[in-house]
Parts: sequence; C-alpha cells; structure tokens
Amino acid sequence: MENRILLRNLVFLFLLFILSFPVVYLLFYVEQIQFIWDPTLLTVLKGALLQAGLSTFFTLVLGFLGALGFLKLRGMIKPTHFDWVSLFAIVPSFLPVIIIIVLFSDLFGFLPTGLWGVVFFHTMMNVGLVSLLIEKLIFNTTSDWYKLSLVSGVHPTRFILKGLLPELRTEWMSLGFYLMVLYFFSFSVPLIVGGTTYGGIEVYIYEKIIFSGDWGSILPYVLSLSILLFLASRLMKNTPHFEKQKNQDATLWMTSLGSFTLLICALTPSLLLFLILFKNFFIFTSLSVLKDSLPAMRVSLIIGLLTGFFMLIWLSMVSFCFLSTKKSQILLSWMNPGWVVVGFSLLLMGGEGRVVSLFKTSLGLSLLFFPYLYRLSMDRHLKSLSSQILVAETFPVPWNRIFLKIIWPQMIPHICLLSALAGLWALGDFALAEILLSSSQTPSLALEMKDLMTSYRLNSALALVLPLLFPAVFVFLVFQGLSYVSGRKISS
Amino acid sequence: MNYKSLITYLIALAITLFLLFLPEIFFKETITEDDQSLAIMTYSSFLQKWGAGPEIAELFKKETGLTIRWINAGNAGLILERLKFKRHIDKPDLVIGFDQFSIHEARKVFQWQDIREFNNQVKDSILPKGSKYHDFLAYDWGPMTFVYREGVDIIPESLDDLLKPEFKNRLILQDPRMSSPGLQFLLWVLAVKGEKKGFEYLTQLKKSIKIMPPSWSSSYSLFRMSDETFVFSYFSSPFYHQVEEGDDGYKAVVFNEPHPIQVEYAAIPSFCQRCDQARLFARFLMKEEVQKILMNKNYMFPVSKKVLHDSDFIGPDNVKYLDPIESLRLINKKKELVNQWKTVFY
Repeated sequence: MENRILLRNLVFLFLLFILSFPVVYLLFYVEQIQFIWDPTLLTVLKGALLQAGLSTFFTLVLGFLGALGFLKLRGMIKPTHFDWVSLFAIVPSFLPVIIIIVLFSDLFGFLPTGLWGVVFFHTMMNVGLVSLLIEKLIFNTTSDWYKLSLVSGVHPTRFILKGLLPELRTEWMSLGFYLMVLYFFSFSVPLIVGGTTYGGIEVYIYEKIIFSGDWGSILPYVLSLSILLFLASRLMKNTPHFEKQKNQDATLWMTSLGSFTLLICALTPSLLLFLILFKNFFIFTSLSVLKDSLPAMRVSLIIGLLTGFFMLIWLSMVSFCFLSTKKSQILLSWMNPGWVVVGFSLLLMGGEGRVVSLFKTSLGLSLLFFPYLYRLSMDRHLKSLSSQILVAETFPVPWNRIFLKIIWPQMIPHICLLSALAGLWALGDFALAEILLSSSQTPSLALEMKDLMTSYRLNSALALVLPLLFPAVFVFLVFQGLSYVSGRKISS
Repeated sequence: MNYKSLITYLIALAITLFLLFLPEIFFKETITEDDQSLAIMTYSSFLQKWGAGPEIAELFKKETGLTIRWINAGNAGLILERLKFKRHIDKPDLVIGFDQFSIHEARKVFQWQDIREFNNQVKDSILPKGSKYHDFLAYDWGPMTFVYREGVDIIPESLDDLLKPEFKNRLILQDPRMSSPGLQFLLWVLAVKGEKKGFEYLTQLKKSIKIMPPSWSSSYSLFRMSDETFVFSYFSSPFYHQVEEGDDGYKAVVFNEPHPIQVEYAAIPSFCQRCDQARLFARFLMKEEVQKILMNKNYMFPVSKKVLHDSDFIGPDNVKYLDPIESLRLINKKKELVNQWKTVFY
C-alpha cells in the first residue's frame, strides 16, 4: 500500500520536475535577478483580462451552438465521416496565426484590430475545437437525461435551459477557465492585432526580452505571473464532475435538439479559410510546391508526432498517479513560462545536432501545451473514474492492476485525442522552432512559411497551407489509430 | 484492453519515426574543436534556398576552397540573444545581420574585431555618410519609406500629409519595441520634428494607423492583402514585385523630408576561432559578385555604385537621407523614447 503511494508520488514529482525545469535551469544560469516594477504592467494585465474574458464568452456561446449542430450530425453520418468533419473544424486552431490573419483580411477587405480584433481571431480559431469539446461533453454525460426528457415529453429548449446549462455548470466553468487561461497567455494573436493595449502578457515578456535582453529582470516577471495564475485558479470551485453515461446512442440526439444548421457556427472559420484558398488559386500553387515541400513536411511530421508522443507520456503519467484533489489543483493551476523562456532554456542545455534539436523542439512544445490540455479535459475525465477506483481499492486490488484494468483502458481514448491535439498544434508553431531548430537544417513547414513571408514571398507562404494539412491528417490518424487499437478489446 | 496489439502498434510507430529521422541521423553534423569550416551566424531567411546564403557559400568555396557552416539564429532580432547563450564550441566566427540599432547593444555585450580595412575596399561606395564603423562592416543598405500600390487616390509628400483625413486608417507601421523598421519610423519622426513635437505628431498620427504588427514581414503581408494602404518598408521593396512577379504596380513614396536608412552589417567577434577565415569572408562580402547576389536576393541596395548601375534597380537618386549621427544620438536614448512612445499608444 505504502509502496504504491510512494511510487505514484515519485511519478508526480518527476512530472513536476519536467514541467518546471526550463525556468529553474534559466534561474541558475542568469547571474543577477532583480524585480523592477513597471507601471505599464497593470495596463497590460487589464487589457489581457478584458480580451480574454470577451474571447471566452464568444467562443463558449458560439461553441455551444456549434456543439448542438455536431450532436445532430453525429446521428446522421458514420463515425469515420464524423471524425473527418471534426478534423476539418479544428484546422484553424493549428494553422500559423499570421496565415489565418492574412487570409481573413483578404476575404473581408479589412482587418479588425485592437480589442475586437483579438476577440474575433481568438474566437474564429478556437470555436471549432470548443464546439467539438462541448459536443463530446454533452454526448458523454447527458445522454440518459435527454432520453428521459424525450420520453417525458419535455421540449428540447426547456431541456437545454433547465437541464443542460445549469446541471453542467461545473463543466462550463472549467471549460471557461481553460479558455480564459489560453487567451490570457495567448501570444501570436495579440502580438499581431492587439496593438499596445491588448498586447497581452506573453507579448509583454517577449517585448522585454527583445527590447532589453535583460533576463535578470525578466525572470521575476515570468515567475510572478505564473504565481498569479496559480493563485487565481484557487478561486475555482472544486466540485465533482459528472460521470460518463452508458446510453450513448448517437441517433438519440437527432431528435430536435437544436438544428443541423447550427453546425455552421463551428465550421464557418474552416469553410472561409478554404474558400479564400480556392478563391486566390493558392490551391494550384500548393499542388505545384507539394514536391518541393516534402523535406519540410517530413520535419513537420516528426515534430507533430514527437510532440504527441511526449504528451502521451505526460498524460499517461498523470493517469497513473490518479491525483488527489490537492495535487490535481497544482496541475490545474500550473502555467509554464513563455515560449521564449522555454526556448532559450532548452537552447542553453546544449546539444544542437539535428536530431537533438528536433527532440528539444517537440519536448518544449509538449511542456508548453501540457497545462492547457490537462485543464481542457484530462482532469475531468480522471475524476469521473473516482467511484470505480474507490470500489477497486476497497477489495483491495493492487494499484498496477487498477491502472492497467480500470484507468488506462478508459483514459486512453482521451489521452490519444489530447496527444493528437498537441501534435496538431505543434505543426503550426514557429515561435519555439525558430529558437531551437538551429543549423542550416530543413525548417518545418510553419517555419518555412514565416521565412517566406520575411522575404516578400507571401503567396508561396500561403501555398504551404495545403502541404501542412498532410502531416496534420497523418498525426490525427496515428493517434486515432492508437486509440482504436487500445480500445479494441473493450468494445468487442 | 488488448496490450499485445497496442505494443505492436507502438513498435510500428517507433519504426515509422525512426525512418522519418533517417536523413537526420545520416547527416553528420558533429562539431569538433578542430573543425575547419567557417561558422557564420545569421537570420533564417538569409539561409533559405531563395536567400543569399547558399549562393554566397558556393561562390566562397569555389574561390577559397573553404566551407561555411551556417548557424541559424532564427529571427534577426534574436541574433544577439542567441549569441549570449552559445556554448564555446559552436560560437560563430562571423555574424551577419546586425543593423545600426543593434550595434550599440552588441558592443556592450562582446568585443568585435577591427575590420575597417574592408570598408575601404569598395572605392565607389554609395553608402550614406556616417554609416561606416571600424568594427561593423556594412554590406547592404536602403532608405526607408512608405510603399503603396498604384491607383491610390492620394500620395503623401511629407510627414504632415499623413495626418490628413484621407489617410485615416490606412498606414501599416511596425511596433518599435520589437521591429527595427518600427524603431526607424519612430526615430525618423523624432529626428525630423524634434522630440517634443515628434510625440505630439505621433498622437495625431494614431488615427491614420491601421495596424502596427511586431515585425516587418507581418506588416508587409497584411499590406499585400489590404487595398489602399501604405506600409512602412524599404525603398527597394517595389523591385521585388517587379523582378519576381513582373508587377510594376508597387511604388515607393519620396518624401520632402530626409529618409531614414537601414544598413545591414557583418562583424567578427573577438572570440572567433577561425579569425583569418572570417576576415577572408568579410573581404569576400565586398566583392562585386557577392554584392550583386546580396542585392538580388535581399532586395537591398549594394554598397558599390557600379553594381547598382549595372542592374535594373533604380537608385534612390532623388532621395535625401537622414544623418545617421542624428539617429545614433536618439538610439542612445532608446529606452526613454520607447517608454514615451508607450504613453502615446497605451
């Protein structure tokens, strides 16, 4: 009993060590650390809070409507087709931000900037993903209630207003908190369209590094902000989450809950992106550059797969630990310092060979994505297993059997989904790759896009959007496949 | 759960990953103390297939038999930061990509070799007065201005014209905190108008600014996608569209006021290991053929007058230049000025 607790604690400590080592390493490296108060930080914080709050609100509202559309769709088409539509919906969340901004400004002929610009692009980029998350949440947790409400003749609108929304408030809160943190620490969107007032926290840190290069005064800021988030997340109520329900008949949801057309809320950003690509004939340019972009596609694929695998390992470790409420709170509150800090920390560790730098890039990305993905759904899914584990422990079943027979089989589909997301996000990154993918080696597709844009070649950069979709599909299929293989026996 | 299938799947994936890694594994890139190739650090677009780097390296090898090992610094703005964090063994022998604003900071952090002899190598230099330094070698340059597309209803002639209502929400600038061209614009205004009036001018200019992204590349990309706008860029930017896209529709504004200039520099750090080779390369950078490559790939003006005249590039003959000394006086107060800029834009 004691041994198993010790092992779980050790795994948890190892995970904390992995998560914190970039900033700890940098702390040892920087000689003189001093905190200099900058009054503009308050304006930055205020702006970041406002844009994060509004972005969260719009993403949640549109995401909820899109989720109702997805629920309808799930009953209408085959699961494989549903997966493809899902992948299509999340395309904007992993394309490089500047590409999305440029494409949208072309479509509309104007560019929303400032507060509403940030809110607009945040919402456009994440609404597809959030719709899918909400759809999954509703489908998994409220199928039984819905069936009951249908039998009792309750109108679907009443079911939404009196049942779905109030009963799942904890879930909305945690999803809202996830989005708030994501937007509060967002980097690229505020950097490009936010201007000075809505530049955001990460931009503030980046500016300090680029402008002054004084790491001694930057690190205290980074730490203070991480602590600030840690304290803020303590305000979150820690109420139990709903357990997965057994009745998961997809056709059930075809019965008049929302409308199929609501799907447009989730699919609009992707539809618009592809419309612009076709409109400007980038699609044809893309086909012509396909062969030339093969080396960069290979590098992107490596980064996507490795980041996904690192995430798979971290999340599996979390599953093994099956964290207590207090420990779970630590991870929920965890925020890794900015991209530049993680990038330079990994750079300092040496080893700049081609293989090592690809590993470091993927490791760095997985560390940066971990807190977001844990907050996104990992914690909720783990908590939903509590009662099963309690029963197993009372027998008592050894922990390794509990993990292998109860936790892992039920968690692996979620872990695979989150790992796939990490892999997809990694494909669009050029901020960390710019620091770590050194030497004259082949760049990733995202990095090549950025380099092309630095050399006037915008059309060539946009033409790489389609080649980027190939590694994206592969990464998605690999982790979906893993989920399928892991869950085979259970479903048979 | 079927663990056997899971393990088989994972092994298959590990093999896939290994196969993807093969080209990296077979590409030996172990750096040793006795490695004789010249290590040059520069920004990433310089190194890409469309950049000047590969062609220059090939020519250098042909002429001297020496190979170049490029060290990719990523963003030009991060060169100095990367340099601070480089380990002894893979520190560069030469750095390409400083601008006049990073020189001050670079000198504070490292010592640089005296390379003034290469400045005098080009006899017909068209480099504006005050751009040469004993330790930083200017290899290309260009005046900065606003670039627009033909067909706009109004073209500015002076900085004051930009305040007119016709320019409302039409200027694309760069953030001076993170972008060198952005800093150029700020210093330009302050040098022309004076500090006090300059900030008053910026307050009035706010309504004309459409967006102020953090980098030149973002701003130029957005400019290309939005009609009727003016982007702060290089005087030579239209040549790219002319040469590569056959589009003569891009034009550079000639202002009544003297234009700021952007100069790109190379330098040899005192910690260089292959210093003689680095000096050889610095000399090589000033050669006509190399100047031609730099002009055609970077779309910047060469240092040599002959190289410019032998090309299709039209020199900035009718353009007045801002005295670089004035910019340098202001750059010494960079922190203070940018903080003041923040009060205008926050």
